[in-house]
Amino acid sequence: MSRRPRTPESTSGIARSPFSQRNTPVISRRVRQTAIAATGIISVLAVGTLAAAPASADPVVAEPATAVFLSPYYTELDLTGDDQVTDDDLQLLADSLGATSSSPEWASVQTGDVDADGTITVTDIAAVSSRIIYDDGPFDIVEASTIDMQAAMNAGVTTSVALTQEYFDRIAAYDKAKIDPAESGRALNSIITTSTVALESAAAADATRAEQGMTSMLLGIPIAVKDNYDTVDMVTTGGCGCWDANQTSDDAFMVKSLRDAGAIILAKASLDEFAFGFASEYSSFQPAGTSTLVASPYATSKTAGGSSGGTGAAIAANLAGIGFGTDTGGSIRIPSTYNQLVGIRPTVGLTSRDGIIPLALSQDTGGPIARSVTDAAVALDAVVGVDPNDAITAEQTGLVPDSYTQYLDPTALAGTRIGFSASMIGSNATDVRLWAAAKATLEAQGATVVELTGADAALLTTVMGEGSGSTNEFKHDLAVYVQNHLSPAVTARSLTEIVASKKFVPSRQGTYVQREAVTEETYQNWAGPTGTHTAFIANASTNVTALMDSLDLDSIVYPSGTPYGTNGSNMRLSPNTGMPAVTVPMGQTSPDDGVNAVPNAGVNLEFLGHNYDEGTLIGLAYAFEQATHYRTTPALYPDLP
Amino acid sequence: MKHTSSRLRAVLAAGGIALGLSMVAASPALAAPTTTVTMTATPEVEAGKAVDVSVALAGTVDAYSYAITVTFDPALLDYVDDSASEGPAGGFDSVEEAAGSVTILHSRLGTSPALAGDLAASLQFTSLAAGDATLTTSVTLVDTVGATTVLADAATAPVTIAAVPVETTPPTTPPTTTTPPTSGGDTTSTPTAAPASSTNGDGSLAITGFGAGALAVFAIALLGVGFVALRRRSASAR
Repeated sequence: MSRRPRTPESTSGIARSPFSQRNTPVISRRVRQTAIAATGIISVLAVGTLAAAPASADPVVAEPATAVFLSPYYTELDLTGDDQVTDDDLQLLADSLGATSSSPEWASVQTGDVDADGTITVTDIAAVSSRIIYDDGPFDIVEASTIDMQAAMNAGVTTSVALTQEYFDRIAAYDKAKIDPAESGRALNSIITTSTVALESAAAADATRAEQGMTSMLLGIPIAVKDNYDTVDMVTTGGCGCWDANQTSDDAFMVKSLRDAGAIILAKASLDEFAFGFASEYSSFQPAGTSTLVASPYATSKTAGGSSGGTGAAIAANLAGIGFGTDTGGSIRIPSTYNQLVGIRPTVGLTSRDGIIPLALSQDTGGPIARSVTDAAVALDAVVGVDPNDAITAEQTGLVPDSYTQYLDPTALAGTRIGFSASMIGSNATDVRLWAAAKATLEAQGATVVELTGADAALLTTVMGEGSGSTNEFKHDLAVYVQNHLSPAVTARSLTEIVASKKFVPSRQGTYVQREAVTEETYQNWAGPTGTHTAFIANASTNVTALMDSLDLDSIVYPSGTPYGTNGSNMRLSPNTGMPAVTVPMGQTSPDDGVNAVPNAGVNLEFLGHNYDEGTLIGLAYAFEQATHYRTTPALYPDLP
Repeated sequence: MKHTSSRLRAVLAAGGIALGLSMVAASPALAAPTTTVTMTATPEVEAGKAVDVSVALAGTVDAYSYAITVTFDPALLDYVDDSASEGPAGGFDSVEEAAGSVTILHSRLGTSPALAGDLAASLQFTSLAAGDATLTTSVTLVDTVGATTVLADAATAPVTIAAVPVETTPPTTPPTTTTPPTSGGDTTSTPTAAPASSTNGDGSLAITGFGAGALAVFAIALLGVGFVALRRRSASAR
C-alpha cells in the first residue's frame, strides 16, 4: 500500500501562523516528525513521564477565521459562534469542566453538554472534538473524500503536493495501461492532458493553508475537468484531434472559480468528441482517421458512458479528487450512473457556460461528478455565480445559499414527498429491483413516495418527447465559441474545416456535415428568443413545476439508466425543463436479476427538483447515500504498490 | 497552561460509569476496565521543596480523550503552573485547577485514531507546610464512540512534608563600649539587645530541640518554615 511520507512538509521552516500568536494559552497541536505506528492506534510510552513537549512547537495549521463547511454535523456543536469546531470550543468547555445548569456560564456551554447529563465532562469534550476536520491517522487516497483530504492536510499527514503527485502517479500507472486481465479488457483512456503546473499550484495551496488555515473545502484538492472546459495551462481539444492546438488565453468561468477556491486543476479528462453522445469516443492527439474509446473501470470492456466519460472513469478509478463534466442530454448523469458516482446537473443558469465548448446552449450546463454527495456539494459551491458573459446566470441572484454543504443532513428525507412515474422506472429487471429497494429506503427515511399516474405521468412523457437541441444549435453556438475563445493557432475553425482536417472521430463525418447544413433561420426558429425549443423548455418548466407544487413534491425520481445502458428517455426530463437533477448510486446488478447483465454493474437514482433548488436535492441525495452507501470501489485500480 | 476554574466539580462526582453520546452509532457496551492507574510522587520533601508526581495509565485500549484529576490538600501543596505534561502530539491539552484539585485533560482531534497502550502524565507541586500530603487520583477515559470509563480514586501516592529544620545562630555578646558623646549633642547610647536564641541562654525563646514542649517547637518550626517558604517563593517568582 503506497504511503506518502509522514513528514508534514508544511511545517518546516514556516513562519508562525497568526493564530498561534493569539494569547490563547495552551494548545500547541503538533505533529511528530517521526513515523507513527501504522496500525492506526498510537501506542505511547511505557509507564513514566512523557517527554516534555517542546515549548515552541508550531501548530500544523492555523484555523480559518470563517467556517467553510456548513454541514450540520460540523456546525451543530460550535460553541464560539463561528460555525465550526476548533480548539477554541474545546478550551471553552475545558474551562467549564464540571459546570452545571446552575453555573453562570451554563448558557454559553450548554450546547457542549452533548450527552445531556447536566454537566460538562471530558465525555463532552470528546464529542465536540470529534467534529473538527482533522485526522492524524493513516491516509489512503483511494476513495478519499474532500473531508478525508482536508482532515489529513490539516493534521499534516499529507499535503496538496503529495495528493497531486499521487494522482499523477496513478494516472501514469493506470490510465493508458491494460490493467484488466480479461481478454476483452481495455485501458481506461480517461485523461487527455495532465498539467505541468499543478505541483506548483499545490505548493501554493499548502503555503496558504500554513498561513491562513483551510480557507475553502477545495483548497489543495486536485480536480479533473472535462476537455471542453478552457484552461490557461492546458489545451482544450473538445475531444477532437482538429483542436489539439487550442491553447486558450483564459480559463472557463467555472475553472477560474475553482482556482480561486484553491483547487488544483490536475488534468483534462476525455469525452465524446464535441460532447455529442454517450460513447465517449475521441480523436485528440491521435493520427487522422483514428479514435479511442473510454472504458469503465468496473468493466473495461464496457464504455464509461458519455459524453463526460473520461471524467466518470477517472473519478471512479481514483485518478483525481473531484471531476467536472457538462450535460446537454445526459452527459454528466450517464457517466455517473455507469461508474457509481454522484453527478449534479445544475439548473440552466446556475453555472456559467462561458469558456466551455458548447453543444446546445438551450440545454448545456456544467456540474460536478464525484464519489460522494459531499464532494459534489463542495464542488458546486465553488462554481456558481453570475457571469456577465453568460446572461442567463443573472437569474440565480438571490437564490443561491451560502453553501450547499448546509444541506448535508442525513435526516433530510424525513417529511418529504417524492414522486415517481412507473413508466420512467421501466421494465429492466435490475432497475425494477433496485427501485423497489430504493423506494423502501426512501420511506424508511421518512419520505412519502407518491406515484404519478394519468395526466401527471403523461406530462412527463410529453416533456421527454422533445428532441435534443444539439442538432439545430451546435453550428451556431460553436461559431460563438470559435470567435470568443478558440486559439488563433487552430486552423479548423468551422465544421467544414473540421471535416477537411480529417482529424476527428471518423464515424462522425455525416453528423458534422448535417449540422453544418443547419441554417441560421433554422437555429432562430428553434432556439431563438421565440423559438420552438425555447418555448418548449419554458413551458415544460412551468408545467412540471406546477405538477410538483400541486402534489407538494420535493422531487421526482427515476433511474438514471440501466446497467451500462440508458433507461428510455429519462435523461431528457432535466434538460427539457432546465430543472436541476442530482444522481446518486442505487445499487448494482445481481445474478437474481435474471438477465445477462454485467456483474456488479451500477445503476443510479436521480432526483429532479425545482429550479435553483439544488440544496434540497443535495439533502435528499445525501440522506439516501448515507442510508445506503451503495458506491463500490473498482477492484482493478487499488492503491499503487 | 493554567486555567483556573473556581467551580470545578470532580469529573467523577457522580461516580460509576457514564455512557457517552456516540459519535457514530450508539454503543451501549461498557469499555472493559483493563486500564490500571498508578501514581508515584516524591515521598518525602522538606517544606518548600517540589513534589514531582507521575500518573501512569497502563493498558488503555481506546482512549480518544482522558481526564486525570489529582486531588490534594491545598494547605500543604500548590500546583506549579505549566508543570503538567501534555498528551501525545496532535491533540488538545488543557489543565483545569480548583481548590484542592488539578485536572489534566487531553483529547485527540476530529476523526484521528484514539490512543492505546500505556499513557502517562506528570505534574509538579510546591510543598507549603509540613504534614501528610497524600495525593489521590481519579481518571476518566472516553473512547472513539463516546463510551466513558470512570476510574474513581484509582490510585494514591503518599507524600510527607517535613518541617524545615530551624537554623540556630551563634550567640552574640552585647557590645560594652558606649558611643562617645558628640560635642554639643545629646545622643544617648543604646545598648544592643541581646539575641533571643541561644543554646546557652535561658530566654523564653530558647530552643533546645524536641522534647516536652514539642508543641511549642512545632509552632516555632512552622513559623520558621513559613518564613523560609515565603522567601523561596519570592525567589522562584523572579
